Amino acid sequence: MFYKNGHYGKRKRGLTMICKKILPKIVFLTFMCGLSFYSWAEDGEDPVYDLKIDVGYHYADDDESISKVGEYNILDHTSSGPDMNISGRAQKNDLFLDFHSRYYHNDDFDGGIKGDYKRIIEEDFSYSSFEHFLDHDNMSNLCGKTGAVVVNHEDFNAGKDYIIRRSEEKSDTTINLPFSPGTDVHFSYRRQKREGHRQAMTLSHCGTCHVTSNAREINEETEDYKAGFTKKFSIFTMVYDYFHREFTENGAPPTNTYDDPTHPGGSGDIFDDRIQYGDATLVYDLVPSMKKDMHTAKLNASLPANTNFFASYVFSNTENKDADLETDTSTATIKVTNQFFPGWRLSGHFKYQDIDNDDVFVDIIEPVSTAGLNSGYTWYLHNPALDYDSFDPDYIRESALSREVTTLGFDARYQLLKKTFLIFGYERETVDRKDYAVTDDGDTESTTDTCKLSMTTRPCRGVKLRLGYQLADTDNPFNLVNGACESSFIADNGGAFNGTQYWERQNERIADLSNQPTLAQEISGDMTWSALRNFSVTANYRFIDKENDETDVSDWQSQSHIPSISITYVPQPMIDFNVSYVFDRTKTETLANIPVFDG
Amino acid sequence: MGVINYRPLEKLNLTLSGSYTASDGGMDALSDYSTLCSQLADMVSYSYDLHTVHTYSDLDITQKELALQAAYHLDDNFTLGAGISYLRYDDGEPYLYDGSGDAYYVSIGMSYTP
Repeated sequence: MFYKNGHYGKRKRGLTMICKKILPKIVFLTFMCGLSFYSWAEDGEDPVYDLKIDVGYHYADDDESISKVGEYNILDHTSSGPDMNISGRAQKNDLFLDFHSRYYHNDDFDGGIKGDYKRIIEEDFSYSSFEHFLDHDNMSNLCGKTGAVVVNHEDFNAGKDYIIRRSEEKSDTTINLPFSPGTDVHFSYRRQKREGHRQAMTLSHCGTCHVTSNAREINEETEDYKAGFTKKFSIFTMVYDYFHREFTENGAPPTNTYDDPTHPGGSGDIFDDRIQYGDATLVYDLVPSMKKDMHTAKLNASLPANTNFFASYVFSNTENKDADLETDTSTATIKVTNQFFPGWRLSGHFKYQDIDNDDVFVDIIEPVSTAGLNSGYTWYLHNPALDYDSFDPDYIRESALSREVTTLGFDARYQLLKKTFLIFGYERETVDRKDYAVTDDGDTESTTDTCKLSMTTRPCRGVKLRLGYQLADTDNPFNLVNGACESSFIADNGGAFNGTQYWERQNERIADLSNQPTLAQEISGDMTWSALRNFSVTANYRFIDKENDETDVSDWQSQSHIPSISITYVPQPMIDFNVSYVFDRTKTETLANIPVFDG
Repeated sequence: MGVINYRPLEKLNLTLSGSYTASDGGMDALSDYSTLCSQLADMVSYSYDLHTVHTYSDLDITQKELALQAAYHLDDNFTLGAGISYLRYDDGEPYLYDGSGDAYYVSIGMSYTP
């Protein structure tokens, strides 16, 4: 069953839908194969090919919920029907083809074709379609009452199956220029579509905490174009690519009629000046259209003394077309590797990244109060008879994403014995945010020093061992300054409508909040034992210790032990077993901050 | 997870495969519930019961898959095929709603290789 345009209906089956979805692709494949065979008929050399065709019928049925057991497969009864698989390859003279096609359902099919002519033209085309079954939250926990305060929910599409059909077409073409050895031009195209519905929830405040759910139509299209060239000359290899992406959500956003924010205790419409979404039918869950342009240039050089040099530069511009906002990112990378000294492999890397994200002027809707002490006024420009502290709520949102990131590091690998290697590495990363402070003093910079030491060895036949240790020390990690726990202070009398305001209480918070550690250590070990031809064991252990001791009040520590084991046993050529087990125990000590929503 | 291939006859090939996945997880109870609840009651005059909060994220999922495939070679070009698959998802600690369910899939077909 499916739900569309207000009606439930059975999935359309039969020849008509099959032809619409799959026939054009079969025609394309047949044309390509026919074209190739026609060209082969021209001279005497016999083509070499193999072909396999499977046709059949499948019957499926399900019981209870299908959303998990068939999350990415169509396993309900309506999926029963014919299926087909075609695969093969062919080669004659300088033409090579490899193709495959699978049909299971008019929303579940895939296929592709690869071709190569004289190593001059290489083409890889593929397409696929499948369905993703999503969860439907019935919100049964959103139901309660304490005094006059009520929490309730309303699902306007109760029982509806939320399904997204995802389809993708990709084409990659490479032309190796025969008149310029080492040069190729390449083109790529990709189109992804997502169609269906997902759940979209929103909330009306104050009258009650009224959570509502609607089906959000999904009709997304992402189109990617990429073109570039590669040129090899002397010791250099140069690559340039241009990438363009367009993303559009054509599905209509849902609307919701927001409740009138009436005081639950019967005091009337005294919240009107403090609630933006109230007593109106408004759209929500908007998805902007986006576009992205990216230029990538790479240079690789094989230098003397076993040295390799690599450099790249990437510039990208991403634009939110609906809000007219842009993000520019520039990234420059250099890496040098050297194996001149016997037993040593040395490498150094440097990266500089600059992200510039537009600021946004947020124009807060300021409704006028219709009842109570502030009737006829907005919250900001309030009744002069009231003396509560207010401020202009409109503000400029400066982006925390805008930053400069500098990374410098080196790695060294030394061959201690014939099958034993020592690896040592160090890296320093500095993140300097342009508009966001991570400390009370206004520091915008975070610095992380990472050291790692590991050893790989084969101590005896059939045994492979790796041991590693990593330590990362961070100054001023990403942090929400004064994000929780208000300090003791004396509130002004007058209540919420003429006394201390919620923003004043928020300003008294003293605890910084961060999920980023100031110190992180990891010990890891892997062992693979494959002494017997038909039996192997792989064991792994990781210990992770993280802590943050730079917050005020909310310091935390977390330790994880993660052992795992995997066993593969093939007692006979026709029988094989694989068993694996993973255990994870994580202990976190932290200040638990429980937000209480009261009005 | 295991796969067994068996050829009882020269022209008949049977494949039996199965997998079993179990995922189990949970949180220890938070410390000092009584003090926490009484503090909240003093602050906002509401009575909160947080004693079962740590159970909301409990995880007890098992997934089973079993499949039997048969292929009978009629001659060098044609093969008859049949198969049946069974899948089961069990949620032993459902929260809000139970995603448990099963599905089976039966197929018959013919394969041609020139």
